[in-house]
Parts: sequence; C-alpha cells; structure tokens
Amino acid sequence: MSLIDAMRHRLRTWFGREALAREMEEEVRLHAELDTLYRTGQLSTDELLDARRRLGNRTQLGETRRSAAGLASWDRWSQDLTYSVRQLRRSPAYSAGVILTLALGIGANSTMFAVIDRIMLRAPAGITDPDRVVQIRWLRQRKTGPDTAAVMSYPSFAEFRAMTDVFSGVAAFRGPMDAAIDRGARASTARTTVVSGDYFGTLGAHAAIGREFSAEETDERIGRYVAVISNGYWQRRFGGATDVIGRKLVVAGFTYDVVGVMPPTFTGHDLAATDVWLPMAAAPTLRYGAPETWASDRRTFWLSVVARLKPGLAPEAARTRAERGWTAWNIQPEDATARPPQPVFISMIASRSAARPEYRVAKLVGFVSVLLLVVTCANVANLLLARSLSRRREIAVRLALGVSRGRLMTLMLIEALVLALCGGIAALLVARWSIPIVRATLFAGTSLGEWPLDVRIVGFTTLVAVIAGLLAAAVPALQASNPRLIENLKLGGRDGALHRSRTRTVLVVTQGALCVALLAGMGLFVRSLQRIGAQHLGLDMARVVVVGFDAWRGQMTPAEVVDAYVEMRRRAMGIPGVESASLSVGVPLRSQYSYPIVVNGSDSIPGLPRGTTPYIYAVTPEFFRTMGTRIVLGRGLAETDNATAQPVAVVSEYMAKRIWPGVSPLGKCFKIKILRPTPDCISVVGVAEDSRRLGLVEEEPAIQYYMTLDQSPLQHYQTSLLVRALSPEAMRSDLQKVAQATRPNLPYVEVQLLEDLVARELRPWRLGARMFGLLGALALVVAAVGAYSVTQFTVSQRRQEVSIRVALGARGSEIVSLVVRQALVVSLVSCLVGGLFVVLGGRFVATLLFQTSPRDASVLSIVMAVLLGSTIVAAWIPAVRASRVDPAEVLRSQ
Amino acid sequence: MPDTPVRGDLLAGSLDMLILRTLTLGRAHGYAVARHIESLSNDVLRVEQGSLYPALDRLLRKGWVTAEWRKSPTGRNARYYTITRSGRKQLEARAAEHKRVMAAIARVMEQT
Repeated sequence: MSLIDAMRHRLRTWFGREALAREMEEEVRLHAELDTLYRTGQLSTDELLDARRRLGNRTQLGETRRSAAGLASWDRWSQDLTYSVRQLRRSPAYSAGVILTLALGIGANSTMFAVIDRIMLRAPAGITDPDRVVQIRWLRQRKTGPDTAAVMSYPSFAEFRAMTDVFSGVAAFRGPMDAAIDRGARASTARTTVVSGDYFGTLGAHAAIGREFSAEETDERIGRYVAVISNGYWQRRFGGATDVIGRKLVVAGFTYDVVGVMPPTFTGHDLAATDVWLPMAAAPTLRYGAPETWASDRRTFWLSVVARLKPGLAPEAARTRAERGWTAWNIQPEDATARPPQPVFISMIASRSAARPEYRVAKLVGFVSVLLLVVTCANVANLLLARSLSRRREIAVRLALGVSRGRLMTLMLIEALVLALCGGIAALLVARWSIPIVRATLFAGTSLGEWPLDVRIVGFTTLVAVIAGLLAAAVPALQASNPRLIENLKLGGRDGALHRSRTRTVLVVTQGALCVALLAGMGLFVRSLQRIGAQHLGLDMARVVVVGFDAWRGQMTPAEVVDAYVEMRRRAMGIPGVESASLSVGVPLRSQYSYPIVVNGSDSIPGLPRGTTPYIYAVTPEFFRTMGTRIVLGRGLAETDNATAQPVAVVSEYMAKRIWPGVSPLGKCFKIKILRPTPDCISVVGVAEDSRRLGLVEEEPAIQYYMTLDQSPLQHYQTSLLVRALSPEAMRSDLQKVAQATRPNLPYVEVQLLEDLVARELRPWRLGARMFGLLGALALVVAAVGAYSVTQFTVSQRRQEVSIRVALGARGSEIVSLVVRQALVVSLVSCLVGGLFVVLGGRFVATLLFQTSPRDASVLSIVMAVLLGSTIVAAWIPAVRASRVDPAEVLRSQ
Repeated sequence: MPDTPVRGDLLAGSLDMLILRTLTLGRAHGYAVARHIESLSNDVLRVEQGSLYPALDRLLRKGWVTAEWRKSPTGRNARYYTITRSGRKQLEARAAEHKRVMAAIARVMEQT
C-alpha cells in the first residue's frame, strides 16, 4: 500500500508542482492565522486535538478488536454497497436491461408461486384450524389400481356423525350446484350447496350477520326452510342490506328464510364458491335419491363428508376407530362377510386440489416458469460477463493494487445482488399486474378472492432474486478474478474478449434452446387446439344454443312443461337471426338416455358387447337441421311420424355398421324393451352421420338413434329447446328474456352455448397454449435482448478489427453480414439443442396433447424460424451501428 | 541486545515519530499537531512551521500519512492528515528504536 501511496504522491508532485505550492502556501497561512488566535486566547478548542479526542485512542483500540471479530465489516459492506450503486448508476442502460430481464423472469415465477401457493399449499380460507379438518374418503380397488372415492351414502355419513369420541364435528354436503332462484321474469340462478350435520361448526366458520344452522334445522327427520348466504351473494342479490335476516329466498320453488350471512373470507369448502347453503332435509328437489328415502338409502352414493378430528387424537388412531365403527358401506346383507372398505382421511388442501385439469396445467406451467428463470439467469450472467470483461482493465488495476481476489468477488457479487434485488422489486410489480390476469384466465368462477401481495410472495420473490443474483454472478465473478487478467492488462485489452467468448456462447445457446423449448410447448398446445377444432363432430358446435329450465316435481305438471317448451320454441323462432329450433329429450354433449333394445328377437345384439345399450334422442323433425347433423342415407324424421303412425327411427352410421354390418339398415327393425305394448317393429328409415355424444374426444363413435317425441318412450317434460342461430353469443340474453317470459311462473331459464358444454374439456389446451405462449414470448424477449447485448458487446470488442476492415475497403453490408452471420450460427446451434430438449422432454407433455406428437415437425420448424428471425433482428441493429464506424477515429483512440 | 547505531537524523526522525504518534489520536491539521506536541511536552518541544510542514510532506511522500482538504469545525479550509497502516507500522518500529536509544543514552549518562 505504502508504495502505491508514495507513487501517487510523487505523481502529483510531478504533474502538479504549482498546485502543490499553492497547497503549501495555504497551509502555512492557516497555521499563522490559528497561531495568532491562540496567542490572543481566541482559538476554539474545537480546532485542536482535545481531551476527548485523546480518549479516542481507546476507541481505536476497540475498533481494532471489533474488526478482528468481524463486526466492523458492516462498514465495509455499506461502503461496497455505495460503490456498487454508484457503479450501476453510471451505466443506466445496462442496469435497466438487467433489471428488466430479471423483473420478467422473477415476476413470472412469483406469479406462478402465488398460484401454486393458493391452490396447493393452503387450506381454503375462512376455516379455523384447517389441519384438524379432513375429508373422509374410502379406498377402493379398481382395475387401474387403488384409488379413493369421495362420495358415500347418507347412512354412512350418519354413522361417522355418531362417532363423537373420534370427531368433534361431522358434516355432509352436496354441491355447489346451480339452482333456480325465484320464478318468472325475476328468475336467476345461484350456486347452492345442501348440507347436513354441523357443516359450519365442523369447518369452524361463523356467520358475520345472523347465525348458522341449528342442529334441528339440518336434522334429516326435521329440517327447516332456512338459508345461509355468502357475503358475495348478499351483496349481489340483496345489495348488502342490513335487514337481510328474515327475508325470503325462493330456491327451486321453495321459500326459505335467510338466517345468516357468512363473512367475505368464507366461500365454502371447495374452490368453486357457494352462494347459498340450505339444509339437505329442507331441499326436496336438490337432494339425491328416491323421495323421502334418501336418509336410509345405502345404495346411492351422493354425499361428500368432512370431519374435524377430536383434539389430541392422532389421525391414524381416529382412522382406525372410524373404520371399526363403519358398517353402512355394506349395501347388501350378504356382503357382511366381505372386507370393509378402508376409510381414508385426506386433508382439506389435498382434497381440494385433486383432479382439476387446472392443477396439472398449473404444475406444468410452474415447471416452465422455472425454465424461464434459468433463461433469465443465463442472460443476466451473460450481461454481467460482458460488463466485467469490458471492465477488465479496471479489475486488473485493482488486482495489481493488491485488492484481494476474494474481496473483488465480493464486490461483484454485491453488485449482482443489488441488481437482483432491484429486479426482485420490479418483479413484484410485474406479479401485481399479472396475478389478476392469471386468476382470471386460470381460475375464473372460483372462490379464490383477492390475491394481495402477501409476505409469502414477497419472501419467495426475494429468495428467488437472491438465488438468481448469485447464480448469474458466479460465472463472471470466477472469470474476472482469474489471474490471467494481469496479462490482459498488459495486452491493453486489445483481444482477450475473443478467446474468452466461449462461456458467453454457451449461455446464449442455453437461453436460445430453452426459448425454443418453451415456444414449441405453446406450438404443441395450439396445434392440439387446431386438431380438435378440425375434427368432424357431426354437429355444429358454434351455432347451437341449449335452452332449458328445471322442471321440478309438483310445481308444474308434465303437460304444462311440454306446453311451455312448445310455446318457447314458437317465440324463439320469431327472434331475428334464429334459423331453426327443435325440442329434444337428451342433449348431445350433456345428457342422454338409453334403453335395452331387441334386434331380430334377441337380447344380445350381434356386433355389440353384452350390456351395451344404444342412446336415444327423442326430437322434433327440425333436430337434424338445427344441430347440423347430416342424413347420409334414407330420410330424416317428419311431422307425420306421430303417435298413430308406424314407429320409425333414424340410426347413426356407427349403429348401422355395428348391428347390420355390410347391409343397408333401411327397413330393418328393432324393438325397445320397455315400450308397452311392445310395438311390432321400429323400422329404420334413415341413417345420420356419427356425432359426438359426450365430448370432443371420444374413443369410438356413439351408438345412437333418433325418434320423434310422440313415438319415443321418453317423458316429454324432460325436454330441452335447441336453437340454431347465426351468432349464438350475441342473442343469448335476448333468447333468455324471450324464453323467460313464456310463462309467468317459469323458473330460471338457462341459455347455454353448445360450445360452453365442452369448454371445460378444452380448458387444459387453451390454458396450456395461453400460458406457454405468454412464457414463450417472455423467453423470446429475454433471448432477443441477450442476443442483442452479446452482439453489441462483441462488436464493441472488435471495433479495431472492423475499422481495419473498413479502412481496407470493406463495405458496410459486408460488415453487417459478418456480424449477423456469427449470431446466426450461435442461434442455429440453439435451435438444434432446443429441438433436442423438445424431443427428450416431449413425453412429459404428451399426455396433455391431442393427436399431436411432441415431435411435430411443423411446430418445431416454425418455432426455430421465429428464433432465427428474432436473432437476425437483434444482431442487425448493433451490426449496422458497427458498420458505420469511422476507422480513423477508432484506430487513433486505441 | 547488541547496540546498533541510530541511523539518519535523530532530530528529524523524532519529529516524524511525534507527528505519527499524534495522528494515531485521529485526523488532524498541521497546526493541531504542532499544538498537541507542544502542550503535551509542556512547551519543551517547540514545533516550528519550517520543520513541521516539510516533515508532513516527507511522511506523505513515504505513504505513512494521507492528506485531504476539508472544512474544520470552525469552518476554515484546512488540510487534514490521516495516518496510514504503513505509518502505524513505521511508528511501532520508530517507537521501539526510540526506547532502545533512550535506554542507551540513559545508561551512558548514569555511568558518567
């Protein structure tokens, strides 16, 4: 150190003789001035080394000791910190680039963490002490292996409820499901859950206004017409009125008194929010099973059961006791000797997150966002590396001055961490903005309320930022402290950059490859969606609307219901834009009926596995035109196929092929077993093309046939109205109003697009395409920024070479192509490596795809073209800039 | 311990040592250093400008102190000196040397 100081002093003496002389003069003048003051007794003791400062000796001793103990290092840290901040402020463009990159990469991860935290790591909100609450399921053996079933019979629930030594509370529920509220023009729907037992007490949720249900109200033998509503429904339906308690609510035709409003935090046991809770015993049309026998019906499995374990009782002990006391699983008396199924307790968190397609996608996207973070780290490492190389002269000087390598690395780490933390803060802003978007796309209609940026998200973000900072800083820090830097100093920084670019190239290739993988992921999901859309479904999904209402028992007679539908159809036909409308019992993609049939006097139908029963649609003649299902042979149905005429049917192509292979089905005959008196024959008059029965993806076509309403055995009041319209979405509300006005006492009429019935099925693909697309776009931006900055850096390192070339007569376009070509080569390697990633990792997404191979060549080639294109653009800008150098200026400056 | 002769200018060397010792108490400007030495020695040791500033310059050059201009507590522009680590090492060596020399002188004086 002394040598350096002496050198510095000497330098100043040499170069600043005059300044030095001025300094000395000033010093002597001050001395004289102070001396005069001293002699006249006017000198402030502040000017001198006073007694207090003499004591300072001791402080100093203490400091030495502290430093030895490592305590004084805080001072050094804060010094380093100030230094880093100053360094970063000196190059705002670089700092902004790094912070932005980190903000995107970390922000995506924070968002995904928020999602996963909400749905997989936390119990539903508003449940007290959720660790003690379990869902009771039971283990069953299936061909595919053991799994657990959630639903059980009411007697089973009643047995668990009686185990007061095991559980402090047990509740059964069914729902949430849509139920009609009010009637006529004011009708609407609400998500309704029917409950039994101590539902609110078991979950530990208490009403904010009013009260929860009493034991009597939910008792299966008594039951009272009372309702508890959610805070959201209270706001929507009652405008948050304070006198809501005691008001009437008509649910599915029965009138209930509102007795309580739950707090906003409690929206039920499930992700799907509940608006209205009703006692099961007082909800005749919402409960399951035969009328009045459901409480003792052991055969019908329809209830989910939750229980709160008694305090101090271990879950396993509770489970064993519960298993011993459970006899109602035994449906038939002769099963008594069989081994009882095992009850299994599942935590509220696990029970909630099982089996929703969103979770599989969320998990996948979570994994993908980690990939994005890796891309980000690679990019930031690259930027740091480029910067440290451009600063290598400064670093070399520092090393020469005796700054230890460790301290130098500390400095670089601190700089990276400062950047990472700034990136983390920016990432929180990104998350704040993106969480609502993800919530809206991924979890529309769920009970997940507001997601504030809580401690967990902030903590996670900080952690990720620190890890990202350390990872990104590791490579450049190690390289920068390389002893060979001294040689660099000697070389004057003329080359060095070129032979050291291998690390950077590897980083660029890595991020490009991951970018290809992410974009390919998006491409595969989009391709799946395309393939699904391109399928021939045998019905016009985009054009058809399903209109219907709950025709509950006792409120309207079957004849009234049918009349209402006929009238509804007449009115619907009057709406401009409606092309045709048909009544139908059985709705494709929603619900169908089936009966055993007899062909040629035989129960077992040749060509069909035993027990297979075809599905029947009872329709009006316009059905085929409305649905867009083509008649491929014979005729469709006609008005003349009425109750007095000979019964006829139109069968599906597949049904014809399976039952009458190789021959024309026209004129063939089959019988429906339940028709009394059994008709001689239902003769086949036409063949309709195959159409989807359940969903978009069916392993084999459905075996189905069509008859007129009058000739079919189906009950007419189970009908729905199918409407074909030019633009179904636009006329949805008109249709609802017109249909609702058909009868003054009509319950809520639901208008659904046929497309909506399969929306849930499409969700995983849509989600996958969207999320991969978003993350892929982010990765592309990050990779482009990376390619840009690296090219920029390389170009700046090669200024001399470029100027010599220009001086020797190279044209600008040659320089540009030289630079761009190099970037392209790197990008091509990225494409190859990325393609390899896709091929290897493809099987993880293969199950989520539809008729699309993870190695889909067109997807891969498009993605690669996108990456190459973006690379060209990213490299073009610095290349053009480089080609415009003034060789004379550059060569002079070096 | 064998006696070795004191090298260099004893007086000049002593002033350096006194300045360095004073600066271990903290950063100070030239006048404060002079006053400190004079008051602690009960004005026995007089530190003149003519020797003080060349001595400080010498210490600067050897890298044992550093200097910077800053405002004094009374608002004057003054050049403050701070002892460096090598300055402290030097002080230790000088102090040991000094002790040895003083002991030698004392021994000689008592014998006579």
